[in-house]
Amino acid sequence: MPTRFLFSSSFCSARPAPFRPRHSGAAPARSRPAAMASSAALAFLMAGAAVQAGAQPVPPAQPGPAAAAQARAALAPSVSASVPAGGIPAGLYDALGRKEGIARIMDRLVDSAFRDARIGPIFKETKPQALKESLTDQVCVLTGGPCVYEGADMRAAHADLQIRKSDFNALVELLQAAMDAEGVPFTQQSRLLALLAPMHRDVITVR
Amino acid sequence: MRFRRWLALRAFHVPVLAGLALALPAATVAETGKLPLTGGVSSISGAAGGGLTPWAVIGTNATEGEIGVSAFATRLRTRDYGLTSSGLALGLYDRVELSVARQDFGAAPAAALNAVAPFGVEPDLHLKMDIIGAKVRLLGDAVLDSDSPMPQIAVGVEHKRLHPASAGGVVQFLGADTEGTDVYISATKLLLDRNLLVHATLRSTNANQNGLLGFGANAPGRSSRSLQPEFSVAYLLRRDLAIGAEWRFKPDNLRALGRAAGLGDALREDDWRDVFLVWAPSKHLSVTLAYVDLGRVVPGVTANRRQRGAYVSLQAAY
Repeated sequence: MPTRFLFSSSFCSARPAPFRPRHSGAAPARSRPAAMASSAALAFLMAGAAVQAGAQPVPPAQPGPAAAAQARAALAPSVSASVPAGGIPAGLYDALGRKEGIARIMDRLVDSAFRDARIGPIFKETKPQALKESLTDQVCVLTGGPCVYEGADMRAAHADLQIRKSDFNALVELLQAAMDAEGVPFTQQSRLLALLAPMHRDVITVR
Repeated sequence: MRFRRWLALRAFHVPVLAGLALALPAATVAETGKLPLTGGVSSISGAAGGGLTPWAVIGTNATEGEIGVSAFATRLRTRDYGLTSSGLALGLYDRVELSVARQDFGAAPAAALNAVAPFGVEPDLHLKMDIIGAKVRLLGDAVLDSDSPMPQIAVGVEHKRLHPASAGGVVQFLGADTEGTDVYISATKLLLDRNLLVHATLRSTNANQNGLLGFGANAPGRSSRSLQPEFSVAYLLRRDLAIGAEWRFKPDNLRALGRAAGLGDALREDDWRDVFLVWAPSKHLSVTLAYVDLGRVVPGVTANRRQRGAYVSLQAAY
């Protein structure tokens, strides 16, 4: 159960939430800040930090307190995706088109989210391809697919972003549209949304 | 009383304002971000909910951190009566809802009451009622807390003032007040994975026919408040389309009085029920069609007929 995990993890403490990710522009390479921004955007839907192409996040070179916190956030193993609250809904994974179908949905979702006037700016620091892959793994695991996902908890991943409830709702709408476009029946769409919706408690940072 | 004058003025302007708000272009209002239909539609009293009962949702398209407005117009026509209701609601931060509505109840059959006593009811009687409402969400999120059975819970108040027109004598005969206040608590839950919304309201009221026949009654009728439950279920067929049903229990304050006056069950009151279809062609517009059964409404003047008929409602929300 995502939230239970979150509350039991060492990252329950809310950190201040400036609009831009910390250290933004500080590192020339896409090391810590990029990973954080990506993960924050990803975890906009669910937990995730391992968006950096193909690599486990590594601790930053110069560990200040904030950087250390971010590193811990990024390294915290995610069990959040493994067991949905009410068990894995039967048949949902197949209804979404298995991993390939989920990948197509996330492809559309991320593309539309980046273009969206309401929430596009939130993804400014995010690499779309890494986000797509990570989201796909997450939803795959959540719906009982044979996938592996490792990432940070959502609360830490979102702490640096300003996400309002209307942003969360906007993403839900885009996800519904993406599932429409992939021919996922409405009843199955709602089953997936029911798995994702409780994440609003950790994703929405502006209350 | 200053408040009353203000209320009357507001109510007078409601249809005009409703028309204006319906015509308001979206561009003039800041973007608001509820999910479609999750603010409910406008009930006949002006509060967001189903058609006949308020839900725990806060109306308008505004979610947390936002302010929204909505306007509605509803027409309900039964065999013998017609009800038109229009009004406005203001949604504040998905926390507080303020609403005003004016109802116009066409009750031509009431002229037959002149045979009971010289009430002076005119042939084309139109009773009017102003309703000012407030609702506060106490806790819960009806939509997003899908991992918990906890519903969204709100408390609300509806203050109503009846303008009985030429039926003033009738209301006096009944011993009913022309002003009354309902208070209610509502719990609403969307079972997201099943696309099913369930809802219950418990209302404390002494209104007769929702207040259209005043509030309370002379003995042996009942003047005191009673607790009346109201229920709704709705099933989402698509994210812009829902079907549902409502059942609103009502007190029967006047029946005993009618009997004592030798009128039999002429004044009995029944529960209100309906089945409905809601369509939201856009985030800012919804159309509700319903088949409504108001039960018997002063059956002594309507040959005991049940008052069934069509209900149509339009709502614009920003």
